[in-house]
Amino acid sequence: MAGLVPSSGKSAAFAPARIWLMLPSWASIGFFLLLPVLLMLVYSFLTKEFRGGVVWEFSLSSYDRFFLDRGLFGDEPPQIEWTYIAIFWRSAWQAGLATILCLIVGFPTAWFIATRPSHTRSLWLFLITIPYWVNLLIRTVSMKFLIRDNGPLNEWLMAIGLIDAPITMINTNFAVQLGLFYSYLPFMVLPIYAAVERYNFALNEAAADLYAPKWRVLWLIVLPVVRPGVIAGCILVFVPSLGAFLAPDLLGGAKNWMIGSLIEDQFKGAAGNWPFGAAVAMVLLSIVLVVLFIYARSHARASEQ
Amino acid sequence: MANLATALEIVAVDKVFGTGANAAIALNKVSFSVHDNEFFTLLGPSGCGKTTLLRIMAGFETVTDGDVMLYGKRLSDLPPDKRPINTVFQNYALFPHLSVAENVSFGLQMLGRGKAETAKRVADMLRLVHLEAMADRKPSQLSGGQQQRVALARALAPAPKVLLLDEPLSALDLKLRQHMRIELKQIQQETGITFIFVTHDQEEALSMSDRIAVMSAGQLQQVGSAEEIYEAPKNRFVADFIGETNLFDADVISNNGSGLRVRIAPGMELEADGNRPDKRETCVSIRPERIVIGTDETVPCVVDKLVYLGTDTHYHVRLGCGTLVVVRAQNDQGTKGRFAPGDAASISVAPGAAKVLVD
Ligand SMILES: Nc1ncnc2c1ncn2[C@@H]1O[C@H](COP(=O)(O)OP(=O)(O)OP(=O)(O)O)[C@@H](O)[C@H]1O
Ligand SMILES: [Mg+2]
Repeated sequence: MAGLVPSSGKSAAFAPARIWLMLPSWASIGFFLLLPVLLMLVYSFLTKEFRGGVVWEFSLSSYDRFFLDRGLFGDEPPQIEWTYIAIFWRSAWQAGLATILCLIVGFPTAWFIATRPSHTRSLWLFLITIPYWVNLLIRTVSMKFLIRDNGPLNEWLMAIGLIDAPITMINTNFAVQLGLFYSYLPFMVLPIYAAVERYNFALNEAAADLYAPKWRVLWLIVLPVVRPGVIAGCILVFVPSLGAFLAPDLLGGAKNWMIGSLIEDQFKGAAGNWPFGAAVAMVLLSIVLVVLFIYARSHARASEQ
Repeated sequence: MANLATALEIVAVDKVFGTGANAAIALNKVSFSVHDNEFFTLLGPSGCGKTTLLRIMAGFETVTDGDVMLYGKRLSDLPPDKRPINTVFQNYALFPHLSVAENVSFGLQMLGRGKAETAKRVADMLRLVHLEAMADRKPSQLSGGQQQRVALARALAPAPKVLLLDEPLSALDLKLRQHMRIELKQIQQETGITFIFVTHDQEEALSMSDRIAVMSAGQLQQVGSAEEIYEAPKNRFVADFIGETNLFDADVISNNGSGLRVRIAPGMELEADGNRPDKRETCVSIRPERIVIGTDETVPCVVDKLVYLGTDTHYHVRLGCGTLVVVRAQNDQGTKGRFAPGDAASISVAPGAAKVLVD
């Protein structure tokens, strides 16, 4: 196989041209990706200015505040600070649940679209994406309107006699979950759709021909073959859910904070603390990178075999 | 060789795709039987319904009408995973995430065979197709010919009653194809499994098959051994499709019971095998290699052009009445380069070479 692939980056004659061609992408990655992250990294080690902003003075106090509890006046022996770890834990839990829900709904949806006749497929994809032309903030606010105590959902449930009194949905974990699910569902559908669309359905016939009943065809052939699409979808839902702040803010209220809300709060208004916000963002980034790294390693090992 | 017990029987199968105005008849009253241990070939041009018929046997399509019987048992209601029939797919359909050995063992695992038995069977199958060294590779790391062998090993591993092969050699180059023909035939004889082989390549069909079913436009044209199909084609389609031939619209002069005396061109009368009672005109087929080109003035003609083909030469000659006839002459030292375009020559037809066709 290796012989068929042109040996990339090895041909000396093209090397200078290649560098020039790569320059724009390296420049934009550097400018839009690395620079802001580096800036955040630096900020997280600075001292806070009281009306927002930073004082250029090295300090570990942001990380100290995140991990250690030194009492109300900062003079007690340090203990582990659970407040922020709890927020991280709730965020991971919410994001994980949102990922599972998106997978349960997104997989059949993607499957359905990918198995339509080719001329109607793009229409279905188009229909899926229509709601996402509206700004995320507006969609989240509309969701809030839909599920409030005397909103249409409660009224409708009472009208059909399923409930007698309105259920409180707003400011609950359920509302946050609903918001995350609704925000990120297409990120699950699209990569799975791409994988299923490429799937060779003759494999199903081959498996049935070799005495595999339907559920074993799904489990042993279909799922392993489309797995890269499923994993891509899960990452694309999990990672932004983890850092989401609109859904927890607008639908979850103060009780149901997630990491995103915590970070947002540090940069908003005069009460904020930029270095602390940057430190929280760095912790979040480290966790995401570790997860992605573990995935990349296991994926590389699996495809080497 | 094939004994005459019937393995698979196709009984008056009709297949219509679509309904109403869009209805397309893919198979029209197709009936034949395949014998036990036979290498049976379905041969026909593209779109004649070969794959459809194979998919009906495998259970991927249902019949519109008719039945498929396996050793006297109706198959029509059995789903594909319950039929003791395996398929080598046209594009192999190997499982891309499984290794060669895992592909081959898949059917055995689905049948719940034990670990030791499965491992031994897989090793045997890989040896049969000469892929022992490739057991741990993924299909994407194999050449086309190797993939084809994996597909074959995978389908043979569960020891099916009948093996279906849908143009398995069409993706290979000529040399490999010729080599695989011999190997496939040998594997069929070694395993004793009934093979039903689909191809549109007549050379492939003639060289491998015990019997051939020639199909055209959803209809069965003729079933017989390679010799029967080639030497005694039943109709115009079979004569024309298998090998090359000269077709003449001939006048019937007399009928002597076992054959006809026909005039295929002014001044060219001959005896043709076959019978068509009550017909004044008939179609006659004469193979190019059964016509001799010479200078003895039997039937005069003029050489129009010649096509040199290595082992032999095709002479396109024109008779006095303008009819074009193709003659095939073997190239040996005596005949090589004997005629050139424009030369006057003559042709004579070998006894028994002319065949009367139904239509
Ligand atoms: N699913 C289908 N829907 C409608 N028509 C079909 C379908 N499958 C096959 N056909 C039609 O049935 C006819 C026979 O098709 P089939 O695939 O059996 O041909 P084939 O002999 O295998 O040809 P080839 O040598 O090109 O593979 C064709 O005219 C084809 O268009
Ligand atoms: Mg076909």
